[in-house]
Amino acid sequence: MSEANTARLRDFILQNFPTARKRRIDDDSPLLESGVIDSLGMLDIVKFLEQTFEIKVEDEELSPDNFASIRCLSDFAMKKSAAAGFME
Amino acid sequence: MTPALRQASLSEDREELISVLERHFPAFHMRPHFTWRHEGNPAGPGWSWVIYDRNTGAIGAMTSLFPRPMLVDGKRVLCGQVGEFAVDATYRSLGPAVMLQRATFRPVDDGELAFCYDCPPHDRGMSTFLRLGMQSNCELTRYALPLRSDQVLEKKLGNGAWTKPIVASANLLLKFKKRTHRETGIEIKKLNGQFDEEFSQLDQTVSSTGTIRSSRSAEFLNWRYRQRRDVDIEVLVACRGGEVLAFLACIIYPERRACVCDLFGRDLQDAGLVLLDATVDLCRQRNVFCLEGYCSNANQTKLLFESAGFRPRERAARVVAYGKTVEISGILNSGSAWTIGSAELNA
Repeated sequence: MSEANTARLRDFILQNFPTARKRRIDDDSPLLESGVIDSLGMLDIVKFLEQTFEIKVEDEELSPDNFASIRCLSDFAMKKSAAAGFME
Repeated sequence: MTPALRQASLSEDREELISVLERHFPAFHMRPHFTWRHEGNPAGPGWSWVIYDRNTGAIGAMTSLFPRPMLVDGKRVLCGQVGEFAVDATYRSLGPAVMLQRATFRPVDDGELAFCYDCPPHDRGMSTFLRLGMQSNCELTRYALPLRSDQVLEKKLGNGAWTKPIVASANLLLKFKKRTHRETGIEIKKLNGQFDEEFSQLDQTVSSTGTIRSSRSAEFLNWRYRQRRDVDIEVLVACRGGEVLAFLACIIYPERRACVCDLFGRDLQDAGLVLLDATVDLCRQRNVFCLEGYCSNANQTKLLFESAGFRPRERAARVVAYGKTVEISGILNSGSAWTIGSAELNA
């Protein structure tokens, strides 16, 4: 995943989650345990990932490990994109 | 951590399940409640599923599905109500919750249940269903009737000496609020013993055509309101000429809050109001601050609550149901069919 794609994820989260802006989170800040993103927020992120990176997120992939931080999300999307044969 | 799902064994996993529930619901006396809910249910023991760490085997999340006899458009069916949804912080993301929610559909898919339903109390609780492409089928509103002002006014005004006369005046006003009682020839009795067959007959005589509601056999009512030991449940019965017309079950909590957990019967426009008046009297004797109840929009109890002076408060829960057959899904999707209340809300 290029830095550009990580930036797109970061922009999306900062734009759509007020707590993320307020806390000025970085790529390694915890998203779930800090309450920046709740389960409804996860749905928004899944929609964004699926549309932007043309991947399909399975139920078992909605795990705390994949959604722990922007960097984890970015790594997850990179792996999925690679598996789907889509790379920027 | 690699989360995986498996069905729990109520005997082998019992202690671990209780331990998860105790972590999440510390106010409950979970052990007797677990025994009552899982082992005492006359409709059978139900199912539980857990999310565990594939590497360590440790359980981090669970849910259960309790069998519940229901009446759907006049037909008696066995359905399941989802409860005991508990997810440890380390598993708190959508994936484990969706896996658990999907598992609760299995007994329906296997034909063991006609349908199952869950009552998420808030928007966040809807996220698993949104992921599964499901919407709520109906909503329940909380209704409340303040009986004493002490708690509210002391919270707002403090505990000073000048608060006391204000509280006393407000309590007096609340006490003389209009009563709905009319001369109906209805006698109210406190049920001290068990529900008997007359209540099973009452369940059969109350029409359920075009509606979805809980079935209320004497056996079921005894389990719900007589065998439960963790709360104080009072049952009042309305009779005319010695015949049972309706009953009301009310939980009185130690914090002086009471909840109408069931109001059911025939001639409810009279019997229901007389029962509510009697419950208000009972609550006043016990110095209860507020009496509340829950019901869907289509439930007749809504009109009774309004006539008795209760006010609608917040949306308390949504009901999301899963049925497999076209026949059952048709009525499940009709919001006006759900004539339900606290009796169906609490698993």
